[in-house]
Amino acid sequence: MSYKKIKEMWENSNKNFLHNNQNFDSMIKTAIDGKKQTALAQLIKRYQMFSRLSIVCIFTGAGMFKYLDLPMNIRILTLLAFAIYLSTAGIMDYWLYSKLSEIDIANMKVSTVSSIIGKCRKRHHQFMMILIPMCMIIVGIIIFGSVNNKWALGSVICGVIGGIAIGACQYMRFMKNYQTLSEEDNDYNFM
Amino acid sequence: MTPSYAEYRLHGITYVLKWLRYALISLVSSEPPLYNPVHGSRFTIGSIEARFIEIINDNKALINKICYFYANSTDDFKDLQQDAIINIWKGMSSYNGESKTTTWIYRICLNTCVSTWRKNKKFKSHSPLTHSIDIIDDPTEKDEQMEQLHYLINCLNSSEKMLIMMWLDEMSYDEIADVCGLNRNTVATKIRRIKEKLYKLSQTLI
Repeated sequence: MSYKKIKEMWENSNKNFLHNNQNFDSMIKTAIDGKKQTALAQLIKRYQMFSRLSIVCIFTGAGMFKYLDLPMNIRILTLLAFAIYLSTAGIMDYWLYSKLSEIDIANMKVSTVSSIIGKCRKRHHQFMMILIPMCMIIVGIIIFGSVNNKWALGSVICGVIGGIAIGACQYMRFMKNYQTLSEEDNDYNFM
Repeated sequence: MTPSYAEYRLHGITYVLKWLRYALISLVSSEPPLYNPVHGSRFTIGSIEARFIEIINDNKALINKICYFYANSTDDFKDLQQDAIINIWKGMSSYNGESKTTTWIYRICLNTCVSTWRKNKKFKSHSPLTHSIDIIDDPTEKDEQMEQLHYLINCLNSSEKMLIMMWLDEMSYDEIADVCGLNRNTVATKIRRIKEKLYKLSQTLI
């Protein structure tokens, strides 16, 4: 097949797209009304929400720890580890939020946008790799402190299972809004 | 605090320069700039809306086409269309008409697809969306040709797809380089390679 033929096919497809009677009115209205956000805007908003939430959780967590049936030294250690974990998560989410906020779809070049997205996605995975061990350390400390209390131990285990489920669900939601840059399809790296 | 005479003068000069730039753009460009640096926008909110609707209607085929080639499913296609339209609306305030509307639309649509495109392996196949999306209104159109073209384009990776789409739309190498953020020579080399790849792929169709 010659290029001429391919071009001809392309022009035919143009006609098809042009004659497509799909109604853009509702989409235009949605855009003007500003009721719907783009996937990127939703992702940015979610990072912002999580960065704020982690700061709030430090204080609420501190308030709740006094109810934990743990020895005082373990309680302080847990509280400290919890605060470090949440502040790290908050900083990481804020970094991702600020990096993604830099994207200007209307004026940036495609290579710039794709490199920012790729970088953020990579960092998201790296941050997860830092936060998961930190979380496991906290759980380990709590388990160590509540070995003698079977009810507390049971609660911790239930909490861990619930946490994993919620974490996995949130992780999937985050990843859904990212461009997938897997090794096999890492084709946006122009530079 | 009252501004000094020098500040007034500077402000006046800036004002005149901005107006001159604005007038020059209006003269050179076939389309009037939406953004007026002096009064924010030359158009009222209503006229920005009118211009936006006009741009969307004029470039409906282009938006459809880009989103279509980057979508993996009907839902993806609709989401991409909606996101692209939202981004065009958001970008209206910064669009000054310096670049061609099609180039601007291309940039926004490609950036939208790059930043939101989701790869779902379940849907990833070389079979195009011709059957899942009601693209062709006229049943007499060459459906087979559409499928062949989709097959060929979907065999390329995303950056190749982007370059060949712009090349097929007869955009100049400079325009392509401007949208992609690549060197002009790199664009030329890449397009040559893609054309060779397309040619080889097309041989498998025969």
